[in-house]
Amino acid sequence: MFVVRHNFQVDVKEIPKVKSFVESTLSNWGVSREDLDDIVLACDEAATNIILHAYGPVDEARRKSDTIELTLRKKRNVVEVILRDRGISFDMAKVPLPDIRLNLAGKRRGGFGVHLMRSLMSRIRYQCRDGENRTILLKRLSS
Amino acid sequence: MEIQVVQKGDLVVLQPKGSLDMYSSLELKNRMDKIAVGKNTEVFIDFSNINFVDSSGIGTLIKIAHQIQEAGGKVSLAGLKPTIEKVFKISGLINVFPILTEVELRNRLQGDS
Repeated sequence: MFVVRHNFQVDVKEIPKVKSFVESTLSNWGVSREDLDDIVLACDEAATNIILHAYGPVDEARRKSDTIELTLRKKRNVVEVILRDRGISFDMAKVPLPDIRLNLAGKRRGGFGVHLMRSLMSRIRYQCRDGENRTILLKRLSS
Repeated sequence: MEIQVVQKGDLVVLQPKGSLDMYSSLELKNRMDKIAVGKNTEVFIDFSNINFVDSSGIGTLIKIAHQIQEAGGKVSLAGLKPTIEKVFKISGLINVFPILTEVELRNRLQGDS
């Protein structure tokens, strides 16, 4: 089993670092390009949601003192990603499916991030316990 | 973000390069805002040099398309790599825009020269 962990600041400027960390780690672990692309995008979306939504209403001082902990784990043909944060809880299950036609008509906005995570990963879960949020992304590797 | 723009009469080709994400997608929108769009304008967004699109990029593409369609123009997407095509299928973009290969886009431009 392989495990790595890294802490990121609560700042959108960290998103490229999240992508780079996930990409280089999975590449070192020999994950195929297709699976790697799916996991990198899902992590980009999960981290963006935490920074924009879980920490959106949170004051600057706490944003600076908190971090997002990202753990990557690979066991046999499964990669698990766990993002831990202490922002406002954000239940992804309540996010409705996006509607491209309503979006195009300017009648509705967004919803694509969570939909991408659900579609690209084998399973996603969200837990909130004792003020800590956990976003758990699971991917069964295709090769 | 590097964005090349080719204009031939009513045809406009936007060729962004790199990633279409939270940072770069605004640059694409700003570039598009500078182009006059009329009812005969056809805009092709060429993704052959794009290797990553996230939900911010999708949101921006929808805003650009909405703006062009409101002005009476048409939007097509071209040169999708398999990774990008997968993301566009999931988000539904493939169902609402014509999709061209790189060759079809080139032929289209040559045909209008």
